[in-house]
Amino acid sequence: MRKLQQKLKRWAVGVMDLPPDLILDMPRITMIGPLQMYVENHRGVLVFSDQEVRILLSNQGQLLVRGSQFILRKILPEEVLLEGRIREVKYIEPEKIDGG
Amino acid sequence: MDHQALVYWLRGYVLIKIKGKYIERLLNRMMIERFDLWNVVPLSDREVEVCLTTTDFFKLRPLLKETSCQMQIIKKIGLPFTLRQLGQNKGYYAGALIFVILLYLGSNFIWTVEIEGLSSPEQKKEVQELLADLGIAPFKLKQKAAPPDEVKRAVLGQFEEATWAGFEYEGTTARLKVVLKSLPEQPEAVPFGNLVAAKKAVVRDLLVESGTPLVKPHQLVRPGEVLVLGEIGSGETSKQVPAKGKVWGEVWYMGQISIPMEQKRTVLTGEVMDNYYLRLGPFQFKIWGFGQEPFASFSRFTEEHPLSVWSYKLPIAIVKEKIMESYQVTERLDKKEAEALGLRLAREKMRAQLDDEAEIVDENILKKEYDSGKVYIKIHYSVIEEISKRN
Repeated sequence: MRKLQQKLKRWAVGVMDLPPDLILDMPRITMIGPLQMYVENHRGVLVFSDQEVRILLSNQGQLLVRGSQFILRKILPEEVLLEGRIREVKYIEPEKIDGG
Repeated sequence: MDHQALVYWLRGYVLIKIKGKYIERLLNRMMIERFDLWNVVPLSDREVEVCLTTTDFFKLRPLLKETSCQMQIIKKIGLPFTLRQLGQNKGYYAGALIFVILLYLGSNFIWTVEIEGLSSPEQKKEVQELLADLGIAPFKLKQKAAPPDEVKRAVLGQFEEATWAGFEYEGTTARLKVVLKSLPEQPEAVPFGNLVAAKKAVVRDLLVESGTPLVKPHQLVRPGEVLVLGEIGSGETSKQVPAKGKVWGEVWYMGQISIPMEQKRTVLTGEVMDNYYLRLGPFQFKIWGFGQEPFASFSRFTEEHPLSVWSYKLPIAIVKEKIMESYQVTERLDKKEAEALGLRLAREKMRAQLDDEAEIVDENILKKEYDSGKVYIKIHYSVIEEISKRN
């Protein structure tokens, strides 16, 4: 039943041209060059240090950001604003985490 | 400072340091509890700095316990804290306030009364008493004093001699100006005497202010001849007066001039060299314009720019010298041109000798001679000018 619902949603996104972040509850990530990063629809900060930030996303995936001089400008239930020099952004899919 | 930052500042916030093993967990808990926090800066591995509003700060303790973190306040920022600090030097601000109030109260009083335009001490005293009756005296309130119009009227009423009175406040000074009636000034005394002719002339016109004219227009007068007699009436009723007036007469002058037929003129070629000098008192050094070919013939113009500090002139000046290349042109004039030039120069020479009011009415060439490349002209001028003088 759950899978069916997911499939239906995916179909709706494709056919009706709806924004996938709203329908599928997907994270929306906005970056301004290597300086700023907005993460909407997140589920909390897992690791936060000067050079590495790991953010839990709404679809159980994770966002790994590496760089330097990181500052969390804002941290709200809906969004996180990260500032610093971003060098690397990695998206870790939910299946991989479950497996490893 | 953007809008949000201003709001935070007005409401007050704290900068805190959090130490602990599970900082991320604490951050997530704070986020879920909707704490207003920003600028999370990692200091070292297990330490972060956070800005947090004061209201949320008081809700922080249970979360710290839950995640076994420690917290330390680094700085309290914002209006509420600033105000509290101000409260600690209350006396200072109270003093400032009292000063302002005293100044305001003080400016409502009349401190001095000034009276202008009266010279005698009796009059001054009288006016002072009058003003005091109207409430204008030192240490009286301005508001209780009579309005300026009433003061003016009272002063004018009291003093017959006064033609005008002005009253106004200048800060804490009440100023009364009185203008007393004054007698018309005596006209400048002119000594008695006659007007006589200064030169030989034919009288053209007379304008007599006082005295009896003895000459008529078109009459020839010689130097020293009386033009206007300093006396009016005749016989027994006569009276001595200073003769005053103007007498215009036609005077003849001779002018002569010689003009070479060959005129030399200097013409600039347009080539210019600029030199700059620095002048220190009597010494002058060249500072710019070295190594230029000098011109064979040239005209030189200098401009001096003294240096000054504010309005004080220094004995240092920059001198700019403009050297303009020139050459001589020789022009041969024909007789007519030479004559016209001669006439013009002669007239200028004549004018320079005359008063400004004098007018050249006629000029006649008496003699023209061409001799060894020169024109020699003799001219006769008729000039109308003032001929009278006092004796």
